[in-house]
Amino acid sequence: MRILSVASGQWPVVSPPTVPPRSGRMDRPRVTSHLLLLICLALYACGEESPQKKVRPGAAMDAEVLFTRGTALASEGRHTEAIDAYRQAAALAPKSAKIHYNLGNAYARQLDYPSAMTAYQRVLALDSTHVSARHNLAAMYVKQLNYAQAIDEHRRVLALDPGHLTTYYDLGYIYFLRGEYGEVETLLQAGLDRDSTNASFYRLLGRTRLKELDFERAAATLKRAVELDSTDAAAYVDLAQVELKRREYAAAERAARRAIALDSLSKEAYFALANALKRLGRREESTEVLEQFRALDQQLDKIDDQLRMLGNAPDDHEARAQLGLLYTEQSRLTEAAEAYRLAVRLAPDSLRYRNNLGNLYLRLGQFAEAVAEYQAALALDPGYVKAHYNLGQAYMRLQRFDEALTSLAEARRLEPEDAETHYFLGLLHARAGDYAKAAEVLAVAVAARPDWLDARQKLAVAYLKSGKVEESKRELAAIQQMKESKQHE
Amino acid sequence: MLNFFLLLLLLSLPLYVNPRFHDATQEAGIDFVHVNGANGQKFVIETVGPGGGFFDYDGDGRLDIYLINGAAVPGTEYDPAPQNALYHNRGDGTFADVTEYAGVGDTGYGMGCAVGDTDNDGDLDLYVTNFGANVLYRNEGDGTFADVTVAAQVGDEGWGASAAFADIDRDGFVDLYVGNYHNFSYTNHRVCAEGGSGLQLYCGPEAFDGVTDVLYRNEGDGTFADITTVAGLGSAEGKELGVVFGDVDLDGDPDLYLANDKTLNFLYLNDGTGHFADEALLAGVAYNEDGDVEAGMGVDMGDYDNDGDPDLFVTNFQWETNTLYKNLGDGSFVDETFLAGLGKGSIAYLSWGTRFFDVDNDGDRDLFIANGHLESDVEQYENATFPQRNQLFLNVGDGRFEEYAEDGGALSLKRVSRGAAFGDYDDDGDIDVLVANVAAEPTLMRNDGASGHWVRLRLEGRDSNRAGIGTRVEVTSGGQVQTDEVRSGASYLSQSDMQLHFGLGTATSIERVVVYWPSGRVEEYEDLGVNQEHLLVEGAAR
Repeated sequence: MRILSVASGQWPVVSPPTVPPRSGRMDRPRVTSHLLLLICLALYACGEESPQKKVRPGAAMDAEVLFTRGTALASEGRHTEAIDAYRQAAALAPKSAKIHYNLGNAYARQLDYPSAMTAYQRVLALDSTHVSARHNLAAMYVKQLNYAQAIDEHRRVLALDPGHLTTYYDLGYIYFLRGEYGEVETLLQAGLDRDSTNASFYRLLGRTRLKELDFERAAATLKRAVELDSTDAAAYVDLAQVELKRREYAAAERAARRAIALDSLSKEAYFALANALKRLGRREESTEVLEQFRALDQQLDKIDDQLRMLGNAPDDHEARAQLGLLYTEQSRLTEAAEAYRLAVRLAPDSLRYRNNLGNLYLRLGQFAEAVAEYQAALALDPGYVKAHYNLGQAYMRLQRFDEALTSLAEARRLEPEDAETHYFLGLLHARAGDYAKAAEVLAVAVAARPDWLDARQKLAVAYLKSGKVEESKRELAAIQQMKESKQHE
Repeated sequence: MLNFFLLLLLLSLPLYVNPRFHDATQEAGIDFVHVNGANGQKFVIETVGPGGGFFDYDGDGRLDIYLINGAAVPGTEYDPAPQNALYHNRGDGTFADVTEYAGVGDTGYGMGCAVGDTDNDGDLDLYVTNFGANVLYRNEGDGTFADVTVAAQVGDEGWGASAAFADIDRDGFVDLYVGNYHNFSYTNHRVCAEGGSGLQLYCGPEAFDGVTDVLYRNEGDGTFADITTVAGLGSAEGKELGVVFGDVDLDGDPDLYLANDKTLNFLYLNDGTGHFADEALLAGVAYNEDGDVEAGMGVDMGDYDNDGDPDLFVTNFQWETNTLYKNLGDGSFVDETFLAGLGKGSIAYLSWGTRFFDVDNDGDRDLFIANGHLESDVEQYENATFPQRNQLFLNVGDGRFEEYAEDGGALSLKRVSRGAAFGDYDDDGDIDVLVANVAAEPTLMRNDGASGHWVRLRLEGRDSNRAGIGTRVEVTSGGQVQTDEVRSGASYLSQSDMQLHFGLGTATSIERVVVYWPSGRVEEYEDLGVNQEHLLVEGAAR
């Protein structure tokens, strides 16, 4: 158990206990993160089918309710639960294309591509003109590196709906990955004929022209892209790359910095910035930025590997948990919670998964859900001390102080030496006005961690309030000494 | 006037644009067939080898051929066990299998080879990397070899990929670097199904953990010592496939560049004492120009732009480009792949063995790339092919290459190629190519197309190591200066002829040759004849 920050006089903020990382099993490389971007773009671009306003009678009504629930859950990133709702809805209304379509999207977001493909194919069996399902099916083929089939499906989408703008981009991107730049140019020009203000078309077109060494046109195209969408970090990265090729290093630096400001996780932006700084002769700055790039690359690389791994084995609960851990490290808590939710679904007896999911709920402010996970863990193992401790934290956030006290007391019984448990028990006793008891447990916390300034301060207050003035003075003197010592250091 | 413009037009065209490779394998009597044991279980070792080599093992002045073989995997049996093969060059364009007599028929699951004169006795010794214990064959000087692996203490049991000899501490004895791929074993074997496609495919490198490579210091008494960690090379982060030594910073000692599969590449700079520090990230050769790691396979180092410093080339996976890093001469490199015309043309191929060499003897270094997919099922899920044609990119000057392809001839063959070795086996003044193919016979590509003048230099050290490995040479001819360095290993799992070959174009004389020996000695030669081989012995320059 670890406390990140405890502000004096405030209820503490508790971070989720860290879980020691296991060496994960990982899968094929071979595709760049661009592919992951592609599928995300594809799925998000098509969006979800919305619930109908009118509610039909009987089973259909129940299906509609379930569909609505699934859509709401999916919008919160809770795809595991959304899938449950959609599947129940599909059982009640098996010929509903929209249910199967949303089910496919939920599976795809969980990286369960085979199930997603089945769902999309079901949609197409019901409605062969459903362009969004066909489009997303193409995205699934990309995940399988089956570019040829993906191209076929995208071409069918355009035949059905020449105005399906996303497909111009996604199909163009496949051709870009294959180095078929002429095809990219043709497709994007066709897309721009239909929507001349589509920034993503300009971005990919500019990138293509960069690879074709047409730097002046690439620069102009990318500048148009950022004019149309000044929040597109990727376009700024590409612009920085073009400026590097044009030896306009100051402009490259500006573009890269803008990209980083828009997306602090854009490793490509850091890389371009480092190159610009190096060419500008600012070696030390370049080195610093490269180090930032490297750290980010390592983090993102692990996530990419894990996503690929899950693409191959969506039922691997440990891989799901590892992904959750990686997202947690990047503070991508919603995605982390979703990864752990599925890990729990796949391995419901895992104390670690449930505890970590609870911790994520805690950090997301979903305290009731956190309580439920900790309680589920304790039902499996009443002696699981971390869950008692964290349950205490969750109860504190819910202001259910009596239950918090009970949980932390149990944690103390199981792990009598733990400083943090005593500290929080102290706070709870103090809040209840029992300063003597508060002083008693805070003293244990201080004995365990004598350098814990905040615990000492609270102990001094508890002594004072319980009438132990001399003890309080002694603590205050110790605190003063610690402060002076720190200043001296 | 018209004639004048025609002349200008002709002058603007690159010289000798018609190299032609002839598949001479059968007529040369090379009847070797590689096996990889594949039986559908998809053990990833089946995809990686083999390599091969050109080297003159018997000192008769003609290049012989060594070919690496695989072995059985669980569920496969061979009788007799497959073994590596040595072919002796008879001098008439044909070869004789002398494996048994020479005693180099290792039956391990072979990957690659490298040669060097480890005992400075004037003949070349042979190191074989395996999935399993590697083997060092000491050349006895009488056409036979002795397996001295145990005595020399170089039998690393990791999954050895490429290896190379270099005198890292310049003590006159070549040391040995072995790149180990990753920790695959039959017990952690698994198959992968990309994107849940249901196809059982070979797993990529992410499925396994990296392991440390090995640097063996030659103790000069027939033994080697593992100094990997103390030399600063103890990282287990990389998944090495390609290994090349060369003096990238021109400070007189061999540096080390490693091509890693889906982990960043390493550039270890030598501090002159045999201690290394990785500077790849700062030098700009760890990632490609977009900041992406690539699936580094083969690697070479060569001065393609004739500016005096060695550049780097790395081969990569399909849907990635191969990557050309131009040496800027200030400790940094820049990815010039697309500017050099090597980007788009390489995306559709999965690439392995490679080398900068002057295929047409016009005075600049061209590029050969061996290709072939690793997934025999690739056609089921992608419009790519398992066998692929190899590629030749001609250097057209100004730092640019153009692909040369032809119908017919060995360049148009589609094979599942891996290693590639380079040397003039028929002694006609141009460089031929030996390509090692998966589960098939190799391809001996005889170069019949070069027409420029040339010179070949054999370096023999005295204070420096006997094979002259690490010796850098500058050749000035026709007002142009070319540089190259004697290298062991490089390419992919393969050993090329260590003699230095320079195409001279129309120049009929060589103004000057400067030799920078690893010992620090610098020697100059003048007026060496063209279209011939010269033996340059350290300390013998007048």
